[in-house]
Amino acid sequence: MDTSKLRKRMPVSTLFDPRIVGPAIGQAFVKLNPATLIKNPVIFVLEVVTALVTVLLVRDLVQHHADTGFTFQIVLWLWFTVLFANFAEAVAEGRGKAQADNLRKTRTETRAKRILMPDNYEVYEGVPAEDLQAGDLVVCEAGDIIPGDGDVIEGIASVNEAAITGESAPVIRESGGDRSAVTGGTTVISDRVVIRITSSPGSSFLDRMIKLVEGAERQKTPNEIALNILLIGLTIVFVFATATIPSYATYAGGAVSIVILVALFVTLIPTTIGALLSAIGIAGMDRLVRFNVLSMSGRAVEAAGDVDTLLLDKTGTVTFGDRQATEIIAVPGVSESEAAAAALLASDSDETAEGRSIITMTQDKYKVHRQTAPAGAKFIQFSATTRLSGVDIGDRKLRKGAIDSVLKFAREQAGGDVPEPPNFRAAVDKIARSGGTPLGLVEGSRILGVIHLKDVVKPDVKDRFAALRRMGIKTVMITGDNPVTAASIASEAGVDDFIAQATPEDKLRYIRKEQENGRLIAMCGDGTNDAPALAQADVGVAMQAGTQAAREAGNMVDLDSDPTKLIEVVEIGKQLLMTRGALTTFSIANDVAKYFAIIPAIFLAFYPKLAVLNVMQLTTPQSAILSAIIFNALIIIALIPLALKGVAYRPIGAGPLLRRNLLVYGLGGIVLPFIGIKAIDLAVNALHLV
Amino acid sequence: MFFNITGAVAMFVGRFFMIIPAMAIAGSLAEKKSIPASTGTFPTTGGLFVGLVVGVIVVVGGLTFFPALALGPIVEHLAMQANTLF
Repeated sequence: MDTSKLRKRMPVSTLFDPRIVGPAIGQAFVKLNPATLIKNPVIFVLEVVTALVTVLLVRDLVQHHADTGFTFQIVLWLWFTVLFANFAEAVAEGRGKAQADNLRKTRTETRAKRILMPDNYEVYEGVPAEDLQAGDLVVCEAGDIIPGDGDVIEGIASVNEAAITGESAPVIRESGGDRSAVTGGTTVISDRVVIRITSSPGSSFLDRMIKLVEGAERQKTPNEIALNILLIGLTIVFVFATATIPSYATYAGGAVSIVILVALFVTLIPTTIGALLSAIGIAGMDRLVRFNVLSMSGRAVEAAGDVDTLLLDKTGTVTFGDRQATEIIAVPGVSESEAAAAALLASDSDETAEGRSIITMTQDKYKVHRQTAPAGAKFIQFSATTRLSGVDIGDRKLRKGAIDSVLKFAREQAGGDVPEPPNFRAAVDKIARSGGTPLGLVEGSRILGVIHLKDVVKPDVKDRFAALRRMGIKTVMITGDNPVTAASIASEAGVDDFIAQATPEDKLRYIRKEQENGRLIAMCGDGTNDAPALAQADVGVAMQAGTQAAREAGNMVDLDSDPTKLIEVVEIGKQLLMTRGALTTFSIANDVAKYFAIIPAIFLAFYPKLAVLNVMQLTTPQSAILSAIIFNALIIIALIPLALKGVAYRPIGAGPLLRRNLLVYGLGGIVLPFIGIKAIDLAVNALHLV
Repeated sequence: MFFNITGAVAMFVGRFFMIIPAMAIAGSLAEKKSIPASTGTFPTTGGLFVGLVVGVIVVVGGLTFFPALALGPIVEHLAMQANTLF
């Protein structure tokens, strides 16, 4: 799927940027604190047993035992394992922090002009922005930085929101309607507005954004909790598996040292996924932020990965949103080129999107040559009362507009009744049936033809919906159009279902119905009337350009206000879940090779026959155990880039995708450590480490 | 004596106490809503699913019992082949 066209304006740090790796190494040591490490049970257990063997090492050193060199190396690599695990998390957090710092730069010391009396907007006092409380009224004039999140209650202004969105083109904010929300940290460029502050100090949009990307507010998601339970379960299983080994040793008439048991235990417990779990979660949020989407919770990102119904607004998502001229149907007796030339002339100074599309269409489709308007031409702008626009050139009075208005104009010009040309009504009806808007074209009292205005479906959406269908996601189009228009656009765009003449209650009812059937719903919206549906949906993406109510109701905010982004959000969610699954599979599959390395090594002394199980032909028992431990530590570092980048996602359906990933991460997870441990064993012996 | 008692306890726990988590899983599954299948649903009828379930059982089960297996039957088999069992 084509994601390259999306602007990635948030800075992307390279995987091992020294500015991130440096502090992350320090953080890896800070994170050794058991009080914080307990949040990650597997790594906490790892730290506990590592501390235990460290104590044993100290005892051996004090008592001058013979074999301390080997024990020392084991202990060293165990501590490395803990540090590598902490480092993985710290790198992921560091990337978030780097983004937060960029945001913080935009949060400057702002002074606000607070209105003293609610009924007089002219009198205000200067106060620091952080003293503002929710409910305060402030005045912002051209050049002022908006001191906090709020709603415009009086006036209209153009606002530069580059600080939040990175987009330098100013947006219009006005009181009332769907464009009233302003965000703290953005700058008023022109005019003057009165704003009611809606956020308390420290909880503004910018503050929340910084906290989110820093990972400060990260909570474990249901999926992470479930996976953690599985990992704890596996850890307990391996506690028993290792704890029973001394009994076998006693039976065989020998003893196994605790250091070796700990080494076996550590290689068996799922340290790889335990170490990378939080890094995967942080990286998922991070990827969303880079797509300029802010998720208010990790839970929403995961839900996005499981979404099976997507509610999309027609306007701006499925279609361009402005009607465009697609053809001119001339009445009999009028040539197409004559009608097209008249349409071009009548639209010459029409700056609306529809007018511009008529100019483009007449030139492209009917090859009419555009000339400069003749001298003395008088342009008539569209007005809501006449519902006509056009041009007067001498005696020629060209008009275009709504059908009945055009007919009325023709009658007025003729001073009596004007007969409708034969196929005029038929053309009008045909256009209306196909979901388009007919626009009449008239010169004086002579009706020339009908212009077909159409809500044009975006060229690439059909492919995107097809891709979504392959992913197993149903797309539903929401529109205020009548059912006929909606059905025609729905079939053209290839959506699975549509809701025509949708009211807020309709949307809410549809979402509830789908949810009762066990489906997970994602939708995006910007208006206050979308807010209930956004809140009800499992994933509600609010547009940054939308109202405060919509932004509060959704659990994600799209800073670019691009509704098609929902598709990328779903992909990122799926990728997050897949990465977690793939690395868990890999981590557990790794254990097979570790058993084959360590079990023969432990018992070779009692049962020389067990050498058959030493399939890797590892040189000595000590080098076998050390190699397994080293592999176990290094694999964490090796997988950090994968955890941060995520597993590649293809929209090919769950079955084929799982088969592919099982082959790569399951089979690969079994085979790779055999090769890796053997290689490390060769290196360990070449360096005479044991 | 030690092996007799621990063995008995292990057998008892392994035989009967496993019912508790099994019932808990069943209860949790019964509460779940059934979701209509789509292409996004993982098909549970093909060879892939069979392979996955068998694979998980073999690997996880193998990992749990490998030490016991290696030091019990496998080592005894090797000893028997070398005529050193008894």
